[in-house]
Amino acid sequence: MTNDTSLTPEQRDGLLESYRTLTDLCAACRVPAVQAALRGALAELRVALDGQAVELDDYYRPASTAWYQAASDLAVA
Amino acid sequence: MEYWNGTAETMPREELEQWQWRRLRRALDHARHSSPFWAERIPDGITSMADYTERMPLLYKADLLAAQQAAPPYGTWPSLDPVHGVRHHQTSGTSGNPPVRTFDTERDWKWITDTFCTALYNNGVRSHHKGLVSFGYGLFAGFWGMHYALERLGCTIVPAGGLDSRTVIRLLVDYGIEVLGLTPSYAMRLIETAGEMGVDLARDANVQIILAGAEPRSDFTTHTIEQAFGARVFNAAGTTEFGAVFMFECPSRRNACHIIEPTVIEEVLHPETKQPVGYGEEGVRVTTGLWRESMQLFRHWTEDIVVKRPHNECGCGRTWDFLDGGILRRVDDMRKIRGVSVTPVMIEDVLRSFPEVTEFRSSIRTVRGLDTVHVQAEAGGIAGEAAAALCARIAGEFKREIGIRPQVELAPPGSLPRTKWKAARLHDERHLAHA
Repeated sequence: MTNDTSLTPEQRDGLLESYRTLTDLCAACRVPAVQAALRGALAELRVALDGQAVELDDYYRPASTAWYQAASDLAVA
Repeated sequence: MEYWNGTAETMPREELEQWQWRRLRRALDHARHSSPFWAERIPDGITSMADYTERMPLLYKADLLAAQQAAPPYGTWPSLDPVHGVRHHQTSGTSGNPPVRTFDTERDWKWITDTFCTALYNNGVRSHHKGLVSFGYGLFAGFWGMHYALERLGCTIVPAGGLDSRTVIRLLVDYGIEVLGLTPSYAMRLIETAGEMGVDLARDANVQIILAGAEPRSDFTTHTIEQAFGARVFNAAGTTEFGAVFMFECPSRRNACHIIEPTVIEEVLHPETKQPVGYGEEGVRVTTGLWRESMQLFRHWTEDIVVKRPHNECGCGRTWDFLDGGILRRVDDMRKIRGVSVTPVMIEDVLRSFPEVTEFRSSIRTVRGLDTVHVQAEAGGIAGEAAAALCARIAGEFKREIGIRPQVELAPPGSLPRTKWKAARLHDERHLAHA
């Protein structure tokens, strides 16, 4: 027996829309408990979409590069 | 055939390779812009996978350790501010080197869990199962991912970290646990303990699926574990540096360990020339990670000896190539003794073929200028003439299989070390003085 291997186009679109909605909510929401849940849900959904070969902007983009500079300075010193 | 993620597992090979290249390009871009370490190492203008393997330098453990030492604890290696980490893990540092330290973001950790799910689901684990994970739950990444994968699969987890072997046996029997995660060494320890308790694991317990990882093991050890538990043993492996599981054993073909290729590129290179070897040839596994955002890995020289085979030699329908037998040994595990190459797995194969032997330790010593192998074996209460006969049989089998006659002695029951994690049973003591 072979199980379902792929999403239908409708399921895929629904998941992508959910991902975008959660992303927007996560950026805007300031309630700690809700934000934590959204962050976890986004990470779970990202992995699920990846398994279906849905390509999204892959990497987290930090707002600050202060860490990068500090690590570089420490290494040079 | 049932798949955890059929789209990725059965994707046509050409599409898979194109997908890998797009991911690699994004991973390189992230690393170049976000990691001081990688910004210095990644060549400009990589145009293809072939260009990448041609121009990207190999990464050795010493490079990572130097980068970490430069700015502890994580050094210049990360591609993100460590403040975004949700977990910290590190290697044991037992080889005398400082440990490799890593952190993972929440997204990284979900991916790590998913790679374990890929292994477990494809090995037959389902939501109605109960799973016991028997490892230390400490700094090692180890089976942490299996714990969370069982949870994601909807299984009931019994976390057995820190429990003694007798309690683990009782849990297995009393709760009818079907899935077990542990090292092969610890599985052998449980078999020995069950024997002492008068428990027949195959009859009294209900273990059906064993994920035994983290150590190379002989076929004989796998067979012994399967017979004793009445269960199927599956192989899987991952590393702290990579972060996740990169291969799992297919239920369709014994020893075919599929590479989880959407998230990893596994090259196999000749140990000396460092040129690619073909399918079916032994070489060193060189890893490139395509997923992790916190600590990235490009062309990591792992020291693991493997043999890669094409996906279509396994009949499961997956398009992921496989490592035949998983990790066969480590480059630095091989010892030359009087011109004969010897590995810990070869010795294990001989010793485990004697059902009387419950534990062993072997060492290479220089005695009067000659390299010799010294074996200590535990064999219950055997003494006197029977002990001498057993030692002679072990020595004879060792000579026949490996080509060297060792000195063999029996050790008192329970005197040799047992471990749950990365057992070391071959010790090179040639630097020590022996009479």
